[in-house]
Amino acid sequence: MNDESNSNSIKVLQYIQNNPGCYLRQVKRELTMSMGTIQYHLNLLEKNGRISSERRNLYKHYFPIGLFEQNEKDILKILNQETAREILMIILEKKPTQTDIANIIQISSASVNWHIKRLIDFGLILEQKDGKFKRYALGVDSKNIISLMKNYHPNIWSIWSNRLAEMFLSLSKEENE
Amino acid sequence: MTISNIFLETEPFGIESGIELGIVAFALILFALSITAYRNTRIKKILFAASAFALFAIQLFVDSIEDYIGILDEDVTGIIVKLMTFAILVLFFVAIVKKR
Repeated sequence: MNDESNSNSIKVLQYIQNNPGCYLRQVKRELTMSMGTIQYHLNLLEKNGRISSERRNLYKHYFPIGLFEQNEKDILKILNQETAREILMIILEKKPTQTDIANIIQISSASVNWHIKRLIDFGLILEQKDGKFKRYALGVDSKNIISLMKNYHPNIWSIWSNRLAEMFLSLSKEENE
Repeated sequence: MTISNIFLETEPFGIESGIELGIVAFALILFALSITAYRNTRIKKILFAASAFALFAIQLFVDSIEDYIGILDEDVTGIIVKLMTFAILVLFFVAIVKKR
């Protein structure tokens, strides 16, 4: 690989590191390289294990390897859920309790509890004690989460299936907080 | 005479088939949505609802076979369809009362 090609490869990798979840046209637009060149570097980086990709509808999204310590695919699955995204958005703004979240999103406390447990399990958020309350804060770099949410959003099918799941979650009676 | 009257007079069979097709299509969409929801969340109770939606589509299919082909005995089909309706309601009931 010559110097110019190497430098382009680094540029592409850096762009993906700064914008996890970005897609081919977006990289092309921002780096002003030809489609063929970018495609070549993306394939090379993926082959070398520097980035991973996930196809969603018409777009193939690219992620730097090691963005999250584990469960990368599961985290993407979570970001594909409307409610989990809304919860993350609230947590980005403040350190809410489960009751705060339930009041803001207007979903059942059982549903909030289920999502919170899942987000904690995947290391996306942390539970912090605040007197008799439990508050939640981001467990990962907020820049990465914001970028992922911006670039990787649920399609209409995911939104509908999430709403169906919410319906069943709201029927669950489970103690929370 | 309005357009809908003309349609009703000339194509009653077509309208009924169209509605039935719509019901089957919606049942299948709901089935597919439930499967996607289950795959994303792994909440088992959603599988009961998915089975109910699938059974609903099958029920309409059995009903149509009886109406249009007539290979099954009318009484037998009636019992099968009613049993399926019962099973659909049981599945929804289980989906509601099951914890997760």
